[in-house]
Amino acid sequence: MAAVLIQDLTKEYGTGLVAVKALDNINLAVEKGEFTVLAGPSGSGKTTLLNMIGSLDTPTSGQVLVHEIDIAKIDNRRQADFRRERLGFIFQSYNLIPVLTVFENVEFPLTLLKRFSKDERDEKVHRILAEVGLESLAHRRPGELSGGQQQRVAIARALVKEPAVVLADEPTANLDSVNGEAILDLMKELNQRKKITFIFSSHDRMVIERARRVVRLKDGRIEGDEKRAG
Amino acid sequence: MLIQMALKNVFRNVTRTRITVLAVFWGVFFSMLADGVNKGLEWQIGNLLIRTETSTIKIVNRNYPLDELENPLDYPVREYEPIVGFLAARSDVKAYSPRITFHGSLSNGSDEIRAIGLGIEPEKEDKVFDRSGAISQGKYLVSGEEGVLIGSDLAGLLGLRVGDMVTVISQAAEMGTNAYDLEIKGLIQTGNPVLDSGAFWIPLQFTQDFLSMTGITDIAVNLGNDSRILPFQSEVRKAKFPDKLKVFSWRDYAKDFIELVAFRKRIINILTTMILLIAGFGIMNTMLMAMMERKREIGNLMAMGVRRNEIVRLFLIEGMMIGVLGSTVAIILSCIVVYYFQLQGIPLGGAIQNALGSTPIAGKFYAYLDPVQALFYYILGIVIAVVSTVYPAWKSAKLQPVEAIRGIGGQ
Ligand SMILES: Nc1ncnc2c1ncn2[C@@H]1O[C@H](COP(=O)(O)OP(=O)(O)OP(=O)(O)O)[C@@H](O)[C@H]1O
Ligand SMILES: [Mg+2]
Repeated sequence: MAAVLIQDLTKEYGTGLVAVKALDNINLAVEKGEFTVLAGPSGSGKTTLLNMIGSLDTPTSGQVLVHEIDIAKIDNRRQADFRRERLGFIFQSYNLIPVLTVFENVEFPLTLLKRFSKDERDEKVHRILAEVGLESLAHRRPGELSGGQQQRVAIARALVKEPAVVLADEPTANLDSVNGEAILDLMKELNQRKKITFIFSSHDRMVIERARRVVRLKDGRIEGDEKRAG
Repeated sequence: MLIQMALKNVFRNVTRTRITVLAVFWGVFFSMLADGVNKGLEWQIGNLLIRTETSTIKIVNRNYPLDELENPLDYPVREYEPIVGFLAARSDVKAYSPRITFHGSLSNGSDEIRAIGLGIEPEKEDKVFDRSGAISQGKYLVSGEEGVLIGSDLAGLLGLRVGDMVTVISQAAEMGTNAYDLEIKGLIQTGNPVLDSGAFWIPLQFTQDFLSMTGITDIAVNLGNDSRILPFQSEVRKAKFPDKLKVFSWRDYAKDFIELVAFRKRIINILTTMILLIAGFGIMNTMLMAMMERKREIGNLMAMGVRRNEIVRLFLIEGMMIGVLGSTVAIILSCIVVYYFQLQGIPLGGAIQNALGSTPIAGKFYAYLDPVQALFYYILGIVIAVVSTVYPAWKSAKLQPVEAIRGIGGQ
């Protein structure tokens, strides 16, 4: 069973003459535990595709199955529940909640799941913060951290609930190369250790080279798909 | 978690929170002050009328005019002994005073001033209105003795003192003008400007002779309690008296004043509503701004799986906290202020006196703190804050996650 199965997916923005095909008949299967990068120039549809997989946006036609759930066919509330249970997001601009501390930001997705006791949450948060090397900053606010540190928090937040799929839209684009590499190594390591499926986008060659599978997009179409060893 | 986040959001933008909290604060604070003034005015007018002019009720001829321009002597109660008997036998009657109220004037020999004449039985009048306690100079009337008591301000206007002689003049048209010289026994200061600057008291029997009549015009009755007015009215109606009678309460008499207060109340209600509306719009606007600012954050929350109704709740809780904050401070402060003026009163200077208009209040104005009303405004303040947040909350929840995330420079 594929973690993500995309069939004949098309996304158009606007209608009639001004319609833009952001995605044009995409077919793609991502297996569980894969570490896949969506590569391609600006405007090629990377973000749009990630949003479709994340049920943040609705397809014009076609299907997106995540763990066999057709996410476009379920209502808002169940989409929200689907995201809270199965998905982790990492954004280019970190998107941490500024009023919460690092610890609280990471704890937040667990709180939403409602099935963990405070002790369980504390334990999980401490563990993941240790894994991303941020334990000492647990009580700072996001505004008091560097970009690289904030993105580590975002990764910890996306991973703490051990979701089925982590979607990361240009997670290193706002970071310098040293920090970018470190973040990528971290993501890769967590992917291997936890067997979590990673799909991320990038147009940074250094990043793309480290991926095990590269799906190349251009003008909303898949132009290439190569897999390579670790 | 939502509550914790909402609380943190409240303290996130101090300027914005200050605006919204202040909006609630002023709305509630102003409403409370306005209500305190109104209730104080109403209570004070009623109290003063009861204490000095009307007592709880008055028994009069059925056609007796409440209009001051008409002559009460045209509507006398000719046989009042049966009424006095009726009153004396009732346990709910604390005291009563048969009187003659007439239009007259006083003259010091050179100046003549119009005034209300009151023919009274001194002891009975004293029991109802404590006139002897209101004597500022001289002595109270003794029954069987001739003499006059004059409102202290009226005496001042005429340059009269205790012991002076004054000419009492009646202007009952049918009897022509009638004048009589009387010695001033005392000056009366009731606190009611209508009486203090425009009334005099003479013995009832003398008044009857003077006006050549045998009856009276009204009997003031102290029932001690407003709740007894209605039953009393119906009992008087049931009992058969030689004259056709009517019982009016201090409220009927105070109608003009109370209407004035009611009018003022309407104006204040409109003002209060406007202020509260403005407060509501202020909150709505600032919350909309907050929503725009947090667009990306909202999208991010949605991406993490926060449901739309939870986004709505997040905003409503924030609104409620703002409401609680503003309303609590406003209620505490306004209660202190109003209660202070309830105890201490506000000395009436020119401006305030003018603002009060022709209300029979002199000396000090007292506010009145109504705890039920305070509770009402407290809750109202919170409700307004929450209601004003409904639209921004709803708008936030309606955002599409993608749009929200793209919000400000996001990808
Ligand atoms: N909301 C929208 N309305 C109209 N067109 C849109 C919208 N969002 C994206 N597009 C268009 O869809 C196409 C794909 O955009 P997308 O953001 O997915 O590209 P991308 O590969 O993520 O680019 P980048 O590397 O710059 O982030 C572009 O042509 C873009 O202009
Ligand atoms: Mg993009």
